[in-house]
Amino acid sequence: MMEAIFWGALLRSAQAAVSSAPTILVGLMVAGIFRRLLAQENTRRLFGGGTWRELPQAWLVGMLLPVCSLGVIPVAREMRRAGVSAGAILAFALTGPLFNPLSMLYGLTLSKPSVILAFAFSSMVIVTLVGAVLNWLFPGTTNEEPAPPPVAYGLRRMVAIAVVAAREISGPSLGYIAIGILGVGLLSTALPEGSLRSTMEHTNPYAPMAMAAVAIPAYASPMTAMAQLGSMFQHANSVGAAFVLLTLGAGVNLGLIAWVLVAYGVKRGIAWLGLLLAIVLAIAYAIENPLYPQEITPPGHTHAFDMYCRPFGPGESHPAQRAAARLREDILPFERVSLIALGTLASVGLALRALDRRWRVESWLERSPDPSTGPAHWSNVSLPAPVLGLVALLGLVAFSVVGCYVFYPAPAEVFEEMTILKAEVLTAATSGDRKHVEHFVPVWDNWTRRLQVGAFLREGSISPYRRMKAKVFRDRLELLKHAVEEGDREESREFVGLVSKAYGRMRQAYLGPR
Amino acid sequence: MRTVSCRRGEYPTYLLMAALLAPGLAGCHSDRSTGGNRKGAGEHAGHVAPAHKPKDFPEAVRRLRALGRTINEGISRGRPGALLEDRTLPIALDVATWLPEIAADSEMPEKPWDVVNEQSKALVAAYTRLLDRANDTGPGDANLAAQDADRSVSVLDGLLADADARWFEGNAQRDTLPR
Repeated sequence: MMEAIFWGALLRSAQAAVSSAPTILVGLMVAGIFRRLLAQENTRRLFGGGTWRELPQAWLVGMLLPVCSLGVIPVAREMRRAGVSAGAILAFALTGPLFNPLSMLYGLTLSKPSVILAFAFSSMVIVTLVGAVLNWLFPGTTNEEPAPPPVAYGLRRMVAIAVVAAREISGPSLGYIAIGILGVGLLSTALPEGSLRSTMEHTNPYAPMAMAAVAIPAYASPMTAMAQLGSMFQHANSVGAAFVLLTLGAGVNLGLIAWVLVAYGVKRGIAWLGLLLAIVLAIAYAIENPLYPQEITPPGHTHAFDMYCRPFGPGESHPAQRAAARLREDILPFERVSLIALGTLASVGLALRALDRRWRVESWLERSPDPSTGPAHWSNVSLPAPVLGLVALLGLVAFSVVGCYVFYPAPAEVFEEMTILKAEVLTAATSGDRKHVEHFVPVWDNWTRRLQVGAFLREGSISPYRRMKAKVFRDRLELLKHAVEEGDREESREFVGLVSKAYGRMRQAYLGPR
Repeated sequence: MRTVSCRRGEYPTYLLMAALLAPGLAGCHSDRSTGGNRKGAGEHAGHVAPAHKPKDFPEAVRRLRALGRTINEGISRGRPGALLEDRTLPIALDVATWLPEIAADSEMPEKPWDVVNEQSKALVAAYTRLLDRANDTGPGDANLAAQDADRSVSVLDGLLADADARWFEGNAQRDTLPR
């Protein structure tokens, strides 16, 4: 049994590392841009420059940049070096992971889009309140470090950004990120397989508190948190718990808490966490009944939180092999690329550290350009670093908007993907292949949400009819999954027919008659 | 009575977890009145539809018509509170709420479905007003609310009469799992 727990914890930690790799990479890049292009003064200006605008501005920048609660750590460290106030840093650190253009659009496919807008508004209330109180309680928390000498334009400036990223991922940021990832593994050891399936019910008055306990050590990428939110609304779980999951599950992890404690001291760190918990829980309980979807009959359980529990039961005979197989199944191509990039950066960072005693790369980067170099050609204009920094940040935002169109394809393309999934799921359900069904049903469900967002992005709206057709299909799919889990072949075959019919209707609603 | 198997004895004593998790997980062990439509202890917690959920759109409209008659009788007797005691009003509200979903689980095209969706909203509003009257928690005329509900049911009746019967063929809703 201990072997199953150990390998389960390792699997959960590895899954968190894999899913966070792309957004950690973005965070490292943003930290490099802040340091080498935007520079300290412009970074402070981006976050309101100590005026009343700093908290809402930090919230807005956080909403636009695609980072997660682990990827935000190097950015927060850089903001602190630039002399941004504690309130604004923590406002950004908390909002950045909650929303980005991709996850926000996904969230709009929930049963009521108003809910996600209410959540976004509530997050602004939280970061503004926590930030304002923190700045008031502990004034003078800024800790501006001497600015590094500027780097000459051209390739050196680009290399300088990569060097910042390499030093961060091989330095203290790596430690904090490791603590965050370790927390996910430890959490799984504490929660037996499937033990959260009925904890987050609307009828459980302690659901938001239980979620807070789970969500703090847990790691959820913005998209994972949104997908879980979708599942929670589909299962009519506690709305308050869903809100806590979004704010604390996606926004906080043990690594970020460790950084806050180290950077601001135990007293301030505990005050921040206590304040955050109090306000999040107060809002969670306040919205529990007004936002609860009355029209849904709660099934009494959900698998949405299985990913925080032990992946294997005590009877698992080959946990190491199963963990390796699960990880291979889960890893997506862009995550693999991000992991390779992170590994390369970390190796470069370690090599630079080894070289530091003899030669520091920064001394070469920061050397003034050779004055003998003649005037540049008119087409080779040297742009000031802050302009490039701003363009790079806007480019990141533009990239995530373009990413939305790639991640949410046109309905015709989505149905091409779904044809394969239909064959996978219905064949597996007919033959009673439970594991195959359990793997592919969430994937198919996820594609229906991408279908809705894809149609919305291209047509500007999505009719209630289409929305309902997708909902009916998802409900049928969920029932099919449970029928297969129950192991009743006859029932499964019946639900295969119902899913197939609901799929055909959904297809017709989005693409018209064949 | 339902008990979910959260094996607390196995939990390591993590200080951070214990602080918040204990009261939360208490919900796992608490006895909850989940209504008569849930599965019993030890069974898989599946999705089970309430017994009064109509199996298809024609049945939903027929049910609303019958419930409308009962509601009108209750109001004409001056006893709207009785409609709450015998659960007529809560059931009518549930059926009205489910209408768009039930209609979408058929071949009904978008245009008539939009009508169903609109009438569902109107019915929910009317029944909510009636419920408020029955509870003595809201102002308004129960007769007017009942008339509004009747009007919506008539529109749905007309829609059903004009509907193509093939829309609802072989469409019995299955929201339950085997017991």
